[in-house]
Amino acid sequence: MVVFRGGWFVGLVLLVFGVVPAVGGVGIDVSQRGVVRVYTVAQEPDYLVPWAPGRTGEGWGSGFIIAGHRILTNAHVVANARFITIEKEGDARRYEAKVLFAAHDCDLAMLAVLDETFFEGTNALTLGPVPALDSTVTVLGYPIGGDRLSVTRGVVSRIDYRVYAHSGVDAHLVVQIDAAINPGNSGGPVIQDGAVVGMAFQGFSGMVAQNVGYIIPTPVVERFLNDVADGRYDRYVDLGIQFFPLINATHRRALGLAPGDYGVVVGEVLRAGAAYGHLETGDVLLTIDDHPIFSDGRVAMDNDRLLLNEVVERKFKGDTVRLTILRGGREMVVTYPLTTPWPYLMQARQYDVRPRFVLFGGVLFQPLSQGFFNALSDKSVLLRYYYSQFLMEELYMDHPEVVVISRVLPDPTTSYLEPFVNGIVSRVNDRPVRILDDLAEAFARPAEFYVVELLGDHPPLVFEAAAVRDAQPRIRRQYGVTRDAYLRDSMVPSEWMEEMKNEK
Amino acid sequence: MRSERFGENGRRSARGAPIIAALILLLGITGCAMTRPAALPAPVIGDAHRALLRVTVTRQGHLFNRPWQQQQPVTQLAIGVVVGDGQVLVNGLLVADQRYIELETLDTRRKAPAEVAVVDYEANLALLRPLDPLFLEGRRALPLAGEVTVGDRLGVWQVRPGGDVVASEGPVTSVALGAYFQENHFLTYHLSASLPYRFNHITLPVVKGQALAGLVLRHNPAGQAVEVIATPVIRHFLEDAANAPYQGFPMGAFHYGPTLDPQLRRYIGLPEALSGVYVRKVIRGGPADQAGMRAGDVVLRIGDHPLTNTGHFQHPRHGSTSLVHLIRTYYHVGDTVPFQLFRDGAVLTVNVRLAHRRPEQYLVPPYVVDRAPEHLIVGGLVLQELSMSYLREYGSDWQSAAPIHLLYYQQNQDYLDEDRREKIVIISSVIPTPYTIGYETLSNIEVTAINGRPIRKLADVRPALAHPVDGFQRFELRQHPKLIFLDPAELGLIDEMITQRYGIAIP
Repeated sequence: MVVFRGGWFVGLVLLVFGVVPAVGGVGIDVSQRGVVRVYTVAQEPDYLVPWAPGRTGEGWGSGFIIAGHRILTNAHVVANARFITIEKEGDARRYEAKVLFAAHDCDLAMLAVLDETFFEGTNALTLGPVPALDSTVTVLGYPIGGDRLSVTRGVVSRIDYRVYAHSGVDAHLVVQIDAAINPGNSGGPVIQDGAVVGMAFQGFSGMVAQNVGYIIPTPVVERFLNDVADGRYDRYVDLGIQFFPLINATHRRALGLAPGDYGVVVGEVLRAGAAYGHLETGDVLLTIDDHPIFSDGRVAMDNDRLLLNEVVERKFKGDTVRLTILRGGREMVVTYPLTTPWPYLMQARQYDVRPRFVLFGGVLFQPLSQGFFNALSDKSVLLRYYYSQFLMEELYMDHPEVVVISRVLPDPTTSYLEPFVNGIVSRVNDRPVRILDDLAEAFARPAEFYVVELLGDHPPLVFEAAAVRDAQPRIRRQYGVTRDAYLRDSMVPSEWMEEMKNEK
Repeated sequence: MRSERFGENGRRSARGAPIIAALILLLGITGCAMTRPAALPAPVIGDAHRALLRVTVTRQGHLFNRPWQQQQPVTQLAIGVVVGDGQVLVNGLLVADQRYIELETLDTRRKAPAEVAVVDYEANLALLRPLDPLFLEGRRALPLAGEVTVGDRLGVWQVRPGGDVVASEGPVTSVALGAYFQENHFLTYHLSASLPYRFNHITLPVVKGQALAGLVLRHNPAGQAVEVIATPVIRHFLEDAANAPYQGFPMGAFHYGPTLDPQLRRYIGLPEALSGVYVRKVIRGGPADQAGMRAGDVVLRIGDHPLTNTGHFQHPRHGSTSLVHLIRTYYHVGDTVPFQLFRDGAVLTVNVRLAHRRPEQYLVPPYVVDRAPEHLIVGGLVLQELSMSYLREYGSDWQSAAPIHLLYYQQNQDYLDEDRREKIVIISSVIPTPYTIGYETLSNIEVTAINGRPIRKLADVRPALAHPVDGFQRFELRQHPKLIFLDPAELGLIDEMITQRYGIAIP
């Protein structure tokens, strides 16, 4: 996984669409009998009204059947789904399906159909290799423009890394093709020589580029299938460092390297990453799992020159990586187990979770997240800094969750509290607030006053316990707030909180 | 420091011309200049032209993101006021980065070069002095007006190209604190008047009768609103300017907020009978800090002036006025002022010796002016201290376009004093040469140490470079890639190459 921090993929569109067509048709060949239409009713939470159920929307995408009566589609087709039905060619019925696994970091999902008779007369598709450049592929699916199965054809234009727009931050291998891929194609198979060589998933809007469609290649699909084989999806893992190319001659000499095209230097070692305690700033990486590393951070793999991350891309949580490094002029071997550097999730779109919040005395507290940050109309410098620098400036060390005062609900007790909006909570009654749960706990502890200290230029926010007791039910009634807090669905792993506690 | 900060220029003359002619006739009969309706300028009776000078200033600043690069020279016009001691008062920002100043009399059209005697960019005021001391002979110094209050009618003196002085008049609609330059707030008169004859003049005098009441700060032609630098600010400036060295307007150096919220008041135990402001932060080393004030104190009274819960005091003429006016304009640098505080249930008094916080005393200086941006070029790396002037190079939307970590440091600088840095030294960019291949992408990265020596200001760089480690200059950076190296033996070659190829001088 490569974590991208910018928004440079603006214009990328996901290929799910939003109207319901009818079905019908006969006369389909072997591959076509493995293609399905996935129809979804999804519910998106509203981060500005976090207690509300959220708005529902309908849409559809495509999918394909694999062995074991499973259906693969894009995670974005079924994200936040409340109700899913599957349709197939030559059958007017709609079959309810459920999500078995959704991998939002690589935009893949596996579905099961509740009524197994659905699979009668269908044909499971098999996975093939990464298609070669300039070879022809066929895209099957249900894009806009008609009700029946659509077939388009194109050639493989490029094989590269790109950000997967569904999460917005995870980049993996993609294959670019010039076949027409349109909304509704998402999740559909891309066929070559009778085997699936990829899944259509994103493209550019017509205003940005034409004839550019992206498919998820089979190494990514296979990795997903392997990851969930144990009944659970563990996410991608990462080296936990940022490396810097060693192109500069002086830089190379200072690190004890000869001129040439090999080696990269370790810059940032993420505190929450796997390399912490194993690699140091200034270490030179020479090989990764015996693949020599070029000075731009690429390795020779699969007859291509791929980013060294590709070695890690194919690994799973707990797998180890073996690096030959140069430290202080001495060559040594470092082996360590790989993990997911969770703070990168700050900027990742989250799905299938509800917004966390605490409402206390008319003041709404919410943790900073992609969904919350994007919903804000006024993004202060402080919030922008904590959002965008969360990973790189290690802001998660003091604030695994950045607890923000997001709204003040007007009430006699909150008349003077509006200036606190957008403030970040640091302590309550002298106890540090590291995650939202700390805040809820602090408010649950009996006290006469609850004194909330904030970062930066704020006086303390003082709640009088007696005033809050009276106000809370009134405010809940007034604004239709269904609960005082929602504390599940945290982005912060409990293991991390344990590790930090033990460190102290 | 940019011209648009002075406001737009109104030009609506043609439509009003016949009315003006009629009005002059009327005035000739009545002879009463003070009863004219607003926005109908007429030549000023008296010898106003002897108190005014046309001031031509040519300014040339630098590009802070290319610190060796000058901007093109820009020439601006202003109307200056003779204020005695052979000096001429104008807006301070008019002379920022000035290269040449010329004065011209309105009647005899004589011209003479001048220099800046004293300038205060925060209060947006400057005193000019002709190089020839005899140049102002025969000119009339304009006395400073007495009190100005809401409802007074003030005139804005403008000068036609021919030299006639015309006045637009209007009532003072409010007197309140306004931003003069950046975060500097001083007393401002709001005048309801249109300025149809501005002729692109930047400084325009504002008078009460024949006395100077202020200078135009900015002007909104659409709303007929004119903001005016208030008399007490000018008086304060002139008083201080007479006593070299000029000290500037004092500050208390603390952040405060209101004590309106009854929950906050009950928590800190502030009785109903007491009112004041809650101290959020005392800036390290500033006057409040040295006097022993602390975050959490409530300031009840400054000098003889009790404060309200929003930080206002009762001004004898203007009514409720911000304590900022009290600290910055009522007192002078060096004055010791008793602050009555409420702390832990008791009332106590501390004596605060007010001082001015100079721009160079900030972690991120609010302005750098009248000098080339300090920088070093080391092996093609351009090293600079972060300043507001640097951030402003990101354009009119710099507050969103500039790098977020630098904006954060700027905005939160008073809360970031844990590492005791005096300035934030950054690699702003890299000048490409064959030696910098691979380093070109480095930009806006903070330098924390060189050769193991901490870099707390730009002046720390050269001494640190004198001690290479293992034959290399070792740069420790706060951001990725964290660590880079330069070869001391190559630095001279790189400098030479930069000078040859780019024509950039190595400082």
